[in-house]
Amino acid sequence: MAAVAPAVALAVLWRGWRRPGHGFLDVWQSRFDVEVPDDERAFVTTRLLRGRRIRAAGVAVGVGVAGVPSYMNLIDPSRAADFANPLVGNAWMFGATVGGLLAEALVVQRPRVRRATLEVRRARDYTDRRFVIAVYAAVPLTLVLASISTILGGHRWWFSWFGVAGAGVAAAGVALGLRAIVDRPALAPEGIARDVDDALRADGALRLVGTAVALAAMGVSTSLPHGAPGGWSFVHVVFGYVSLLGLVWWWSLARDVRWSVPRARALT
Amino acid sequence: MEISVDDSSPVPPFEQVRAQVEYLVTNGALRAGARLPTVRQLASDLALAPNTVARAYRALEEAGLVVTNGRRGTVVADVALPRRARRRAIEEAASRYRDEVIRLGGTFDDALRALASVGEVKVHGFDG
Repeated sequence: MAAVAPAVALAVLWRGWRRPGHGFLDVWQSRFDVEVPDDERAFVTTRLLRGRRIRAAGVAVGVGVAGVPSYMNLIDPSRAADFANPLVGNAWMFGATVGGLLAEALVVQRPRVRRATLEVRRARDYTDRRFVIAVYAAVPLTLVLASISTILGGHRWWFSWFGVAGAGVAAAGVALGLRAIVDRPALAPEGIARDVDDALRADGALRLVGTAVALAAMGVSTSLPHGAPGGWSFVHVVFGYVSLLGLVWWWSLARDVRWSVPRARALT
Repeated sequence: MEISVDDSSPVPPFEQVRAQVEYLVTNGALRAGARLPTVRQLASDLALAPNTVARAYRALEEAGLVVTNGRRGTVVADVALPRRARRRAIEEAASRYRDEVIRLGGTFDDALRALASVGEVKVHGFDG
């Protein structure tokens, strides 16, 4: 079992690192409603590939960490259970969110001309704000649930606080990542360079919010009170699906959602 | 609606930003209540230090042209333009016009005639 996590981590890394196929950019253009001219194709491909590699590295590190209990089982079986908790088990989601954040925060972009539009860039230009609100809302929700769990006590009640950590990392990742995306210098104030730039921002925002939604959903699911009486088991079952739903949203936001960045924003 | 920074100009960048935003406000291109980009956004787009843009915004605020209020950010002020700011804006616009006329080889009379022909303002209106 100890070999599974490293093998999965290497597979994730390999898949993220390899250069995408020919159709990759066509799909991307269609998804973000933008036409990348020939002289911009290399720039866009490099940027997308770089982001993908950083995100893949985040997931790979997380998968590696998630295997810690199985490594401990080889080293000291009596201590393996100490590391089997939701924080370690879901480390790949933490890794994905941190990777998504770093992929945006580490972009170095200089404006091509020293001209700027006076239009205000907003996070909601690049992603659906309902998902962002859901991620932020998960923080107080997990805090309440973890507090209830603490009051009720019971077996491994402290696991609930790992859910708060998950929601907190998701919210912080979204806040910092969207800020980096919005504040990044524009390539150009108008024309195709601006459209491409907007599409790259939307791509990063959707991927980051997708991972954060999954992590926040996992946080809510994990923070449910463990020492709750019988009637709560039904709630546990229902909330168990929240994390599953989060993963579906992640997949959808990161890969399938089509997003057209509003080109002409009114000065309001 | 764009503004730019000219590296070769002797005018400091903060003054270039201030003058251009002032021009857009005073000629009505930016209406009252219009939101301006954040200091950080404008600074990064123009490759300037945030302090430079913040200084321009502060000068605009002191001139009563924009208002900065917490969550809404910096917005164009909903007040009549102060007399002094308006006079300065008109003088700057006139200066730009004069420079263009000189560049094209025109005279002062050419400039006045052209001005009279394009708008409702009569040349004698300048006397008062």
